[in-house]
This record gives sequence, structure tokens and C-alpha cells, in this order.
Amino acid sequence: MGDRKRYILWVLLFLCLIFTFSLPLYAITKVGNSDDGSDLEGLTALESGPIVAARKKALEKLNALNVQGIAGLGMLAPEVEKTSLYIAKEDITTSLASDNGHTSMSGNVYARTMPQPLAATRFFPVAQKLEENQLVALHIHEGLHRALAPSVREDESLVGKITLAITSPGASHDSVKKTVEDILPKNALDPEQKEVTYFTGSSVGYTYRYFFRPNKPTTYQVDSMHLVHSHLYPFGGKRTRFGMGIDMSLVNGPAGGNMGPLGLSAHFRLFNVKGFEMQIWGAIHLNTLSAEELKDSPFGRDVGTLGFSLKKNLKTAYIENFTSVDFGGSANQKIGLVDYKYSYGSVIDVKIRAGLRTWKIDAGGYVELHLADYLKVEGGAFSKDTGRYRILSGGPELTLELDEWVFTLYARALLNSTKNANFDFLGNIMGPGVSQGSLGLSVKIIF
Amino acid sequence: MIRYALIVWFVVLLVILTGCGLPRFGTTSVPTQYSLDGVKRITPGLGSDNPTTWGQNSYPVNTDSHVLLRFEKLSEHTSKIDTTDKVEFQITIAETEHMASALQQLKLCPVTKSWMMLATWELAHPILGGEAWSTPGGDYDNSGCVLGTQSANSSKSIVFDMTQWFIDYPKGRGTNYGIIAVSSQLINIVGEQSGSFSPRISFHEF
Repeated sequence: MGDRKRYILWVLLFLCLIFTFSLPLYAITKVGNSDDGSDLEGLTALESGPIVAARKKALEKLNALNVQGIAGLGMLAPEVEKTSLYIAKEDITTSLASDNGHTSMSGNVYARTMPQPLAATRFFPVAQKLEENQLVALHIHEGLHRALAPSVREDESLVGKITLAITSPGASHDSVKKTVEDILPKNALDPEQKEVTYFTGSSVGYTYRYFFRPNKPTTYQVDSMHLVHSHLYPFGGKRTRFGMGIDMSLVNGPAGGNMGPLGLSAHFRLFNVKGFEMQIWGAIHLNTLSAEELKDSPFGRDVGTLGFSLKKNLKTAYIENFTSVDFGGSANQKIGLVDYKYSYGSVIDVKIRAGLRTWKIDAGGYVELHLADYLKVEGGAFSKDTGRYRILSGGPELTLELDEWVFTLYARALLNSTKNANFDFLGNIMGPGVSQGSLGLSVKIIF
Repeated sequence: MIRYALIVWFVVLLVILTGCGLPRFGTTSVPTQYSLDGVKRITPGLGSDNPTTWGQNSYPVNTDSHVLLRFEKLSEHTSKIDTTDKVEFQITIAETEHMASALQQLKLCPVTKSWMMLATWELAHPILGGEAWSTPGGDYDNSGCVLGTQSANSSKSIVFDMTQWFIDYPKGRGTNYGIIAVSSQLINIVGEQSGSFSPRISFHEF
């Protein structure tokens, strides 16, 4: 063999060796859940059909549950919405550990996706036999693989539990949130979202208050009160909510029930990065719309309030600081031929609430201090002025949350005061109430 | 000379007349009369806001039923009242047969504690935590109580000379706690609802 031929043979041998050793590099491609990518063959984009319709249903469910506000699930809805949908030509059987949770009883894989944001979702023909609710769950499951933190997004057990929490009948924002908080490690929470507590929503409710007055005199006896409220927060974004509220009341006394004050309020809730819920509000309780008997009483005044609160919900406890100022005002009462004027000075109100949280129950209490400028009563030749006085009160609170329903039982007792003051002095029935204290029961629905 | 004599005679006459209290320069010749606006019955068992305790045509005065009386706007007149003339309260008796008893038993006494129209038998007022009478039925100065005399203008009315009360309390101390009608026998007095015979006060002003 000549030198030329020998040289060509060595070159060919060398090229063969290179080709042979480089084959695995081209053949093995990581796609899907660490799979070999063989299911990428023959993919067709899905534009319509039951799988696409089911994605829309999945999005509706996620939005209804407000999953965007749950730490760790902030990207779930966008991932479900934006993922490209494909369908393969042929079914494949289970070959990867990551297929657990994605397969039929016979081992055919329903769908696969890459565990990274914005990856496509590949469905297999067997998925077309699934019912709508099963397809919804499949979309959410695959979306979780892309939306969760990298440390947990491939954990089929975690993803399966969260999928179940979202798709189970009776699922609520709170139940999903609790499941996520229970099973996800802290480092899996969205670094941006874990410092944000999402506002739970608007509310409509009813409250009954009973005022107790052990042998104490009064100028206008109020025994109990019914309150109905509607606070709606339709404006704002994820971190802030702005809305308005209406409170209506019925006041009961020895002579029967009378229309009480009407409350109008504006509320602004926002959240800072430290996870505190901050609220600013302004309210006015209009006694001018009360019954004549109440208008012609020491409590017949309009009360304006500005307030600010900071609340922190921990996993097993809560604490809230609350500050407000009630502006002064006056009310008139005519008795016989004498007109009496009750002049109320402004009142600063500070309160601390704290308690424990376990299961669905919040149990705690509060202490509240009212510091008032004065109360003057003048009429004819009669004149009295308390000067500055204070009222210290407190009581227990017990709250039970059952999905959207919240039940609260609370009490207020006068602990200490100067100038023999009681809650009558404040002239604010809808606020702290009247008399020596009260017992309250409220039920509301949050949405 | 005659002119100077006339002037001197006029001055002497003026001094004599003024010393006798005549003429009254600046005072009303007829006393001013005002209807009392603070009229409140207190009796055991009736609450502060019981509507039968004010605005009535008549009130019983008895051992367990007293009537608080006050001219609420007295302070507007205090500095102008001439105490050289009487300050009188006039009470009209509702039942003719009570007249004789009223002249013997019905007394008006100075009240010694501030009260308001929500007063009760136990409380001078229920506001601001309430203030009780030291003695149920009202705190009054027994030594200042006055019996009345038949009014010259009405056979049904009795007038009470409360000049000393006015000097001791509204003028002397700047306090107007009014007076209280008490009696050991039942006497019905006309209430403030009456147009012509409501309880009233009269005095001369400068």
C-alpha cells in the first residue's frame, strides 16, 4: 500500500473515532422532566379544543382563589396562561420518575413540561380522553412545575399536594395558603412575595352588641345595638386596596328600637415589604340620620374619625397597633323648657390587639385607651365640665374562620377611668359604644 | 332771693323724698314677672326621663313628692335686680280646697346643690357619672324656707318673698340652684304648662 493510501486510511479511522465518541452528545438532550426528548417528535401547536378550553377554566379557578397573593404561587397563573401548548402524535409510556402524577393507570403519560419558567407544555393523545376538571388539574400541575421555586418545583409529592389543595371541592384562598405555608420550606417562598401579606378582601356582615350598665345612671339608655356593614375594596392592585364602607345601625332602649347612626367610611390598605398590613381610614357616623329620639339625646352628634393601624400576622400569633382620633362635636337635648348642649372634645384612641392563632381560631384580647379633651354639659343655669379625662378598657376576642365566613365574639369592659367617666362620656355609640362595657357577636363573609 | 329760696327748698325736698325711697330714678315701677322654665318633679320610683316629671299642668307636693323650681335665665338679670324691692315667687294652687293647707304647709326652700332637668329623688343629675343628693328628695337650706301669703292679684295664688334667697345665693355667691317646693300635706300646684298661672318670679330692675 502506498503512503498516500495509508495516510487516507488513518484520517478516515480518526474521523470515525471522533464521530463514534461524539454521538451521545447529540443524541442525549435534556428536555422535559429530565427526559430524553424523544417525545418532541411530531408536536403540533394547540390552538383550540378541550385542552385549550380547560386552560381557561384553570385560570378562572386560580384567579378566583387569588393565588397571586399566596407566597410561593405568585407566578402560577402567568405560567398557566402563557405556556405554549403542544400535542404529540403518539402516546408514550412512563419512563421517568418525574412522570409520576402525569400518567394514566396503564402508564401512558398525559403531559410533560420543563421545570423552568415559560417552558412549553406537551400533551399526549391520551390526555384528550380526560374530563375537563382533570385537564384543569393537569394544567395547574404542570404550571406548578414551572412556577415554584427551583428547590421544590420537581418534587412531585409537593406539587401533587398543592394541585390537590387548589382543585379540591371547597378550596379557598385561605385553605390553599395554609397548605402552601405548611408544606413549602421558607426558602421556597417567592423572595418578593414572602414579605407581602395579601389583603383578604371585602366583607359584608352583621354585629350584635349588648351594653351592660350595672346600676349606673344615664341620660339616655341604650340596651343593645344591631349593626350591618358592607365594606367593599374594588380599587387598587395586589399590594394596595382602596374602598368604601357603609354601616347601618338599630339602637334598642327601654322604649323600643330606633334607627341609629349611619356610618360612611373610606379605607386604604397597603402592605410594605416587612409583611405588615397597614390601613388608613376615615369615617363619619351621621346621627343626623338617626331617629328623632336619638337625635334629641346626648348621643345625637355626628362623629368624624381618622385612623391608622399596623397589623402583623404570624403563623401562630397576631398583633395590631391601632391609633385614631375622633373629632369633637356637640349634641342637643331638650327636656321640658330647657335646652341642654353636650359639647364633646376630641378623643385620641390607642389600642393594642394580640393573640394566638391555631387551626382556624384566633384567640386573644386587647387593651384600649381613650384620652378625651372634655365633656361639657350646659343648659339654663346648669353647667358641668369634666376637663380632660381618660378611659382604659379591654377585653377578650375570639375569632373562628371557616373559609369565607368569619365569626367573632368579643367583650369590652371598663378597667379604669378618671372623673368617674364611662363610655357615655365619649358620645360615640358606633365606636366604643356606651355604658360600662359591652358584649359583641359578629358574623361576616369575606370575598 | 326768692329764687335762691326756691332752689334750696327744692333740694331739701329732693333729699327727703330720696331718703324715703322716692322717686325711683331708673327702676321699674311695676315688677317684672317671668314664668319659671326649670320645673321638675322628683319622687321615688320615677326615672330621670319620665315625661310625667315635667311639662305638666299640675304637680303634687307632698312628703314624697317635691318640685324643683328655677328661673334658668336669672343670671341675665342678677346685676340689675333691685334688692330694695322684693324678689317674689308666685305659685298657684291647683285645687281650691288645698288653699288653706298651702298657706300653712307649702314652703319654698333654697336648693343647695346644682341640678338639671333629669334629676330624680336620689340624683341631682345623672350625667357625668351622676351626682346624688346628700338627702334623697333634694338638698335644701331648711333655715331659708319661706311660707307664702295670699296674692293680692289672685285668690288662687300664693306669693313667697325670696329676696333673702336671692341675696344669699344668686347675688351673693353667683349660684342659681333654684328653690324647691315642699309640704307635709298633699298640695297640688299649677305647672308650667299653664299660660297664666304657671310658677313665676317677679322682681324690680334698675
